Amino acid sequence: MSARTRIAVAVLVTIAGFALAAPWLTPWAPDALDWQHLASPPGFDAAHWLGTDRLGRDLFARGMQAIRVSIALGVLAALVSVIIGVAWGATAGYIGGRVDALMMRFVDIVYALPYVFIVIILATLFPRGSLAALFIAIGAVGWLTMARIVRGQTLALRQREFIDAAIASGARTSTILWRHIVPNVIGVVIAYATLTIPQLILFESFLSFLGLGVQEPFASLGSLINEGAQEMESSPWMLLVPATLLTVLLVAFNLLGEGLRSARETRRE
Amino acid sequence: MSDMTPLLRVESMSVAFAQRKTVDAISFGLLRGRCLGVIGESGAGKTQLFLALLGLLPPQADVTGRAFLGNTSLIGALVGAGAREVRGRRAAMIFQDPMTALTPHLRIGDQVAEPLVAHHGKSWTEARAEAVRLLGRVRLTDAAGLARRYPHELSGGMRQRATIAMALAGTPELLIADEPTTALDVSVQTGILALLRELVTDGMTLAVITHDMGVIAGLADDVLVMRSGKAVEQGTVDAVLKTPRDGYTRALLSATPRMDEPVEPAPVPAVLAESVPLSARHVSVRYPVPRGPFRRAQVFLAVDAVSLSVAPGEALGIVGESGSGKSSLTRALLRLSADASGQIAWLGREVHALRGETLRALRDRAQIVFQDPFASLDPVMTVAEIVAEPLRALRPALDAAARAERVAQLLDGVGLDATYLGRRSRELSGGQNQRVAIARAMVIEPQLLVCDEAVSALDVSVQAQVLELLASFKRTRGTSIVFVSHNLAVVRRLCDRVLVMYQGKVVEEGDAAEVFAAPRHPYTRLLLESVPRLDPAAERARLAAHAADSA
Repeated sequence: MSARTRIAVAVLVTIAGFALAAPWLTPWAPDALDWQHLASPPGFDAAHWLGTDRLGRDLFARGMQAIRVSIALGVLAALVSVIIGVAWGATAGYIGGRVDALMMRFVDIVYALPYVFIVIILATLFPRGSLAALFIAIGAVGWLTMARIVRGQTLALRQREFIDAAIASGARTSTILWRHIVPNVIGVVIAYATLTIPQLILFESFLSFLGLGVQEPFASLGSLINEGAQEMESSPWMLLVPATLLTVLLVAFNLLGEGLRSARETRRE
Repeated sequence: MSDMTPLLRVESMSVAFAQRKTVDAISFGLLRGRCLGVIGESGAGKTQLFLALLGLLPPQADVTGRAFLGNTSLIGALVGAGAREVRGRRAAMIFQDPMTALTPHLRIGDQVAEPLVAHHGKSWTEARAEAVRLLGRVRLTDAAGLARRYPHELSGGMRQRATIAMALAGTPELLIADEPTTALDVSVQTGILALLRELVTDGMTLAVITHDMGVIAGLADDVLVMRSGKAVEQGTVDAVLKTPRDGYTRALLSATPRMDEPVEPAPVPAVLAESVPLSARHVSVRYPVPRGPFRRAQVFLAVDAVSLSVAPGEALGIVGESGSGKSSLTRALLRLSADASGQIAWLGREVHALRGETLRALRDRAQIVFQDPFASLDPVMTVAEIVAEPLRALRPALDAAARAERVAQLLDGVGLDATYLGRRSRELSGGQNQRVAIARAMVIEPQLLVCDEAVSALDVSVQAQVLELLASFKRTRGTSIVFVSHNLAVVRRLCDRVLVMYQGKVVEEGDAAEVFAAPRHPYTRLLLESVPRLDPAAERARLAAHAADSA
């Protein structure tokens, strides 16, 4: 593991640790209002380390809660996109022919739809602020690229002799997919999924920023940034705190994904 | 021709990567106008030795000892301009695969001319004329026309000649050829060997790196036998080939299949199947060749109405060069490709029209071993999982314990003990991997085993062991074998009957001993004449005759 990857892991573990331990680290609940400290700036001696927003809510508590929401959504949505993407891509790539063409044209069509439309349509179908709607919206976009990547890998694998050897051994198509194709693409999939998580977190933040995502009293990094942006002239920390957290989180995930990818490539040589 | 100071002098040279020695204290001298043959199996360090001499190893390689080309020291001194002076100008190297040595988008003539412009300050017009002369020198007919062609328009043998012309363009004192004929068909190999020998006769100093004793017999004046980095034997070609002193050299020589060795008649197998394991009638394989988006694809006939049958306990050899359709035929016979027509039966049951589950259930009748054992074993699976796969698929009644027992038994039968069960293919050598592949094919006791170039990627000593293993399955279980190979000497060792393929057709068929003794078809005769002999004098005469023919 390279030094960069190790730092990324350390940062992610620290952030996740803080996010999980937050309820015990601060006396403030994320939605508790502190009338004595409205919009107070951050400071070590202050009652609120990272300051408060204009309703007097503790930004550390809210930020950590937002990270829990963001990571959970990102990881879960990445997992869903892995499951759908691998199944879809491996099947299309292995069976090939008309099935492949049909399945991949479907992917192309969904790709071509502006995803904000999908989200708005879903938002009208579900109650406002529903996490399920958000989850489906993110999942619907996330698996497309994964399916394409897995299909490409599968097409290359299908040409390999060990697949012919498996066919000659009498293995069923399902067995070949499950025991030969999937284990051989899983390395790429994990590396790519790690790179997908920050994309999905960013996507969720973007939707929340637009007001289509996580709703009050819950916070996500996107909704915090949205709120902070409205006050950025008078109280810049309200924007800077969630924006910094988001940036650190995304950089750490990207470094980890990049590290996994290059580790895989060097091992192959 | 040769004065007595060696052109290339190497004194106790070693190459190490992170303390592991790949070349260990090698010393030799190569006189002008002679050919040194360096022979060894994979991992012997023979290529490393010469890459180190040319300063082509990565910087982490630790090269020690002394080496001189003329008066120039080659070790530690080859950087920048000095390195370019030696590489290409004073010493040139040709590699195994001529396609990788040629730039795909440049015309052959320009590629040969380029070093003349770059190093010798010639104008392009002069250089192009010189390139045509050089292409003629390597015995390419219509050199002027060829100079305007691109690499992909040339055959493998023509490409290798073109790379030799490129190497000659710098008028090097020393030519190094690394497995120059390994990627080529035998009939083409003769031409390249004859050309290289002719260059030596004309005064060139040549070092040839090879794993093939036949190449040594025809080309080399002196021989250096390498094993795990060390020189185990050095001497003149006659001394090394006729009176080898070292045990390893002797083992190498006796493992090399040769056309003049006696073949004992195959013993009759103990058990025999009742019906014919494989019969095929009028099998053809057609591939569409795309010709761009607006034209209809052309149809390429890879296998043209081949009929064959394999008797119980018989080994049938299918011989042919690349492009003869033998691999397409084996894939069709095993129902692995969808582009085949004709009738195929396994143990009397017709399978050509079957698909899906019915076909799958019959696959325990015919199994296959492929050429490249690394490619044909799933890299993520353990040896135990790989060998168990056919049992899992075709013997569902077997429980895990019974399956494990069968797997262990089979691996033991191919000479791999229980410590190999948990390993993966990348931890095994090529020969061990090929045994695993054979164990997988044999674990469900098929009546027919198809081997597609199954020993071609293996070192000769391992090759001999694998051949013996196949023969033992035939002897003890009466397994019928279809043995596809381009190597006639190997086929001669194993097979009872032989079938010669040329451009998708069977041109000759018959009892192996008869076909090898008295070939009827001219192509069979050409193939047989192309197999290098291990007798230096005879081989030298054969190459000289070939050179005289093509001059």
